[in-house]
Amino acid sequence: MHENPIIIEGKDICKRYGQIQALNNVSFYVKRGEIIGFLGPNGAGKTTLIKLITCTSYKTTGHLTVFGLDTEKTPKLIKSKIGLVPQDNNFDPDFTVYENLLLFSRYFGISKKEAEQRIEKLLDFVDLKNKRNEKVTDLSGGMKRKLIIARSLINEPELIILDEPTTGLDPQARRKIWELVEDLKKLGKTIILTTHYMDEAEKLCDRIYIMDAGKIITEGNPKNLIKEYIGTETVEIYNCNNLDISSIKGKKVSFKDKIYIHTDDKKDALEKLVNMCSDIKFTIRPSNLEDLFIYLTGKELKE
Amino acid sequence: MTITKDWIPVWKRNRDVFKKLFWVNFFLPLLEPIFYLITFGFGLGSFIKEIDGMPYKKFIIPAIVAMATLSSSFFYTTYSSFVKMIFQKTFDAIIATPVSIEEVVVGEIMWGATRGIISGILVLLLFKILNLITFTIFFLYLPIIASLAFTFSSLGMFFTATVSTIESFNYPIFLYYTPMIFFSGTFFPLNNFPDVIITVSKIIFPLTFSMISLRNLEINFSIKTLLEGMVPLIHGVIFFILSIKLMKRKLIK
Repeated sequence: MHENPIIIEGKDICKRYGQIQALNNVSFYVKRGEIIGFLGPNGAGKTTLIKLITCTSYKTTGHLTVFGLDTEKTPKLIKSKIGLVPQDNNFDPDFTVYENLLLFSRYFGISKKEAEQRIEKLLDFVDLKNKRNEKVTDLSGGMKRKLIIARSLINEPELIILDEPTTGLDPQARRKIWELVEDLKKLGKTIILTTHYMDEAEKLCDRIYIMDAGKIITEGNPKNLIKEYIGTETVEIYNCNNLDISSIKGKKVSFKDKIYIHTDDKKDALEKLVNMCSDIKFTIRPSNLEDLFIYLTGKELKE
Repeated sequence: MTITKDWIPVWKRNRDVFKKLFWVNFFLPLLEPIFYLITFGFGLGSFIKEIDGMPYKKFIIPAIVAMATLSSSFFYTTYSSFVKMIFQKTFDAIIATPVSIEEVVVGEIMWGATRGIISGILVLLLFKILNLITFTIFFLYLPIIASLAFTFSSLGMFFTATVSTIESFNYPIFLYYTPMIFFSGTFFPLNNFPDVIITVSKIIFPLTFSMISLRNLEINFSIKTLLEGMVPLIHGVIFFILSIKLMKRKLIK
């Protein structure tokens, strides 16, 4: 990727809520046109970070600029260029789909005429044209998420932030949301998303920051990170009592009742395991971010 | 604390909900003043000759107008605002746009005030139709109604910023709002109480000033009387500023 300008830069950000250290020396950057993922379990500090970027919380120490502007000095200007998809579907339940979008346009000072044109395009984009007069409370979970994405685009934002966009959705609805995110990327938007689904981060993100307990553990392209830390293949061994696997090349992680061997050389692992004993149960599959997370933290992403 | 005109779309949002729910949220509660009028004006009033040289029916009218106004404002910025803030997360949605939390609070208070004024005017219109008040009184009451609406809208928001659960509204309601309704010279004049009690009542319950003023305006008009009726505005401005500060502290951490 050629050098796009950096539009968000955070340096040594700390955030404390009373005794709780929500963010601990977090540094990161986002370049224009990237999809950046913040991946981590609940409580990792993802939402706190989003609040700081959207100027709805104050950091304790550190530096944070969005579009080159200080988040605590020029919140209005920054917020006018961001579209936020929050974790909760915080619609206005008293209004219809169409009215919710119109209502939101007013908070950005968009004229009614301009808003009406944008709403048509947005309803088309998220495929909710025939639901325009429904009450938002009557929409399905997937439709609500699509509507909230449409709402986040009403101000034609440069930066779109999706906080856990697919949590609680069925697989089909999740795929629809992913398609929308990919469409937005094609339009040249910069996107930040937080998730605790490794497949989501792996599929969508150019770069990810892996977070745990308020810290960024590592950063990079998902595939490169996997290759760099653990290797492309993972062997999962199920009934592994008294099994001597020391001769197999790779990084071995024992987690719950399984042993994981991360390696680039699956032939070596396969041959040795088959020769070892006959009733051993194992699978070989491509390594993923979940493996990486367990390798790095000794914990699962999902609790 | 900088507040721009961005509070206006918040006010408009509330106005739009109001238009949708006019009947249930607004017209039905307006039946209450009619019940008061029947109970105290025509019912109890027929047993009482007069109070302060005023027929009881006439005595009770300013109280009914004032209560309709301030309850409409107060219950908006308490329960309605709280539900929007905590359960519907509407405030969270709005502050992710260029609108600031201060402006959300101002929009809420201003709408609460508007709502109170509309309630007050409707009750006054009703009394005018029933020929219980004159046009002069109708217009003289308006500034006092507006003061009460703003004051109790701000006061309600102050409580919303301080309570932690929706149940804890019972503290301000039963320890402050309800005694105020009874002891501000609403249903009976405070004249027979010692001066100390009257003074204390005036300080704690600013409604007392308005009640005295509204009744004096019935007898004769003076600018001083009118201004006395607007004394609650002092409380209003204090609670307006406090509620903005407290709400910011509550929501922006």
